[in-house]
Amino acid sequence: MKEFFATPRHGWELTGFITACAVIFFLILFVIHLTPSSFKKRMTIVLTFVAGLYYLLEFLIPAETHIGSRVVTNPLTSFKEPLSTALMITGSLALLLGVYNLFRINGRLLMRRKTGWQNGLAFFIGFFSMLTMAMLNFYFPTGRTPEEIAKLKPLAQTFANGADQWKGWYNVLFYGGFSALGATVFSLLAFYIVSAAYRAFRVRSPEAVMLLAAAMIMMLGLTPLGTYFLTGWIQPDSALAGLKMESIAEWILTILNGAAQRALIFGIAVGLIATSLRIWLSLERGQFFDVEM
Amino acid sequence: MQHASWTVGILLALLAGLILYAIFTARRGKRLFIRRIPGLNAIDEAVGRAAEMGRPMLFATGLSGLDINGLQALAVAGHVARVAARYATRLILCVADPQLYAIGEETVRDAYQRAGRPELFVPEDVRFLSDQQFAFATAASGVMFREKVSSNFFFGYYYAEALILSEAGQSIGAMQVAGTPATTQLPFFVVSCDYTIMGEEYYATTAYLTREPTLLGSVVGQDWGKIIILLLIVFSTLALSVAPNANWVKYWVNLFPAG
Repeated sequence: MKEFFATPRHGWELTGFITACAVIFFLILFVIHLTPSSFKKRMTIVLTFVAGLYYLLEFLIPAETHIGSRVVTNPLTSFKEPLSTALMITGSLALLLGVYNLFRINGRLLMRRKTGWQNGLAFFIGFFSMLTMAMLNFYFPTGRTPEEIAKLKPLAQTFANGADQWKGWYNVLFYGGFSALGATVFSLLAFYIVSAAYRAFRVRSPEAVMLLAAAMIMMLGLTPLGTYFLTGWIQPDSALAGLKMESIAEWILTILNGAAQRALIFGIAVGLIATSLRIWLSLERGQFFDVEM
Repeated sequence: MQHASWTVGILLALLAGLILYAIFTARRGKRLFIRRIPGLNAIDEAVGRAAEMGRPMLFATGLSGLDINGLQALAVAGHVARVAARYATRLILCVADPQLYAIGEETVRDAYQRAGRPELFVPEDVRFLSDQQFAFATAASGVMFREKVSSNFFFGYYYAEALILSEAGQSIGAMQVAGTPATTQLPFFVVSCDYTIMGEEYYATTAYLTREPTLLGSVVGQDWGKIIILLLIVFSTLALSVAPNANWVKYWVNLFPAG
């Protein structure tokens, strides 16, 4: 069955395969829509359990088991990659929902000329320009020979001849625009850390004093002011080497902070197991669905 | 770890068994105690503040996708939406995952309906901003500034955008409550938010807010599991300190491989 779905298809076979899948999908949706609400909820519980059971068994069963002279591999592992791909494809369909939401909100903003309508206009300009250039750059890449271009249809030849332009504009929009803006916003973190530290490192309570002291030691341990001027006179192989500023800073980071981080991670891991168990066994009722199930 | 070793399997079964036992014990009517978590008590305070000021609230789920962290964030959003409906206050939910957007819209709509105020639900207040990290941070910050929100809730899995969002909220004087299992972002939330829910408290949020027996039992089961892990740590530490070269200690350590 895996080979049936994994076999590459081309031309009319591909079109027919996609059409058949779409028809079956909508038929199943239609049948589910006709079923009573209680059946839908029970089906959700069963499907959730089966899906969770697959991943749990795939994790618990060893990759290889030796039974006598035979080596038996985990039969569930071979389905993991196709399932992940299927989940990714399903998830990517949801992107259309997100785009619809963006269009609705920004479209209303623009059409009703509400305050900040310029942001809606900027969204549409950015969206369509990026979409256009990305698609042109993808479908008409550079590097095609004149003979390859001559084999295309006339309209496609026109676009293929402008491949350098599409790539140029794509680079401007993506690397010059999007990436640069992302880096700009990321760089704001430096200033935000300073402002957050200014507010946080005040002597208000014992905990705040400890925080301030630890932060000062860490900063001194990472800069020449602390490592050279304060404790640079201590020889690395002497008995007092542990008192060097960088050693104290490292001790705070790896021992104190490390222990606290591990404690948090233990709690998070156990909490994750408990929450996953509740959702897998559909015990998490009333949170995302009706109370009655 | 691609596949579990037998020790991991036993430990997992033990933890799951304890959690399920606690859940079913709670369902049979046993009263369970859960300690006070100030950050969660502050949710009502934050919503009340928004109602008094007549300004909306913002709930951001960070970069959480359709996973346990995202669903937990939406569960909290549902509770906040119910309280918001009671006070007739507007809640703007911002998500970075389109799948979470679909579930979030239903969660908030359902919350308003269960509070008896379905007419207050505005579909445009549930927004998919972007799945890109800094585009999401910028858009959410923009929502904060334009809508002049009075309270911010940051629940979910966060990365570097955590500080950008919380500092943007600080700059407009919003009351901020954050909860994330991301240990790397906890320090930023602690310094820039009024209340921070850390680590396992994040997964105990729904139990604390709803006091439902199933959820309370799950939290108690988690604590039993943590006691087991603590005993294992103490035993292993003592064994490695007292007899590090003993064969049985080496065998014991090899039972729990690093990865």
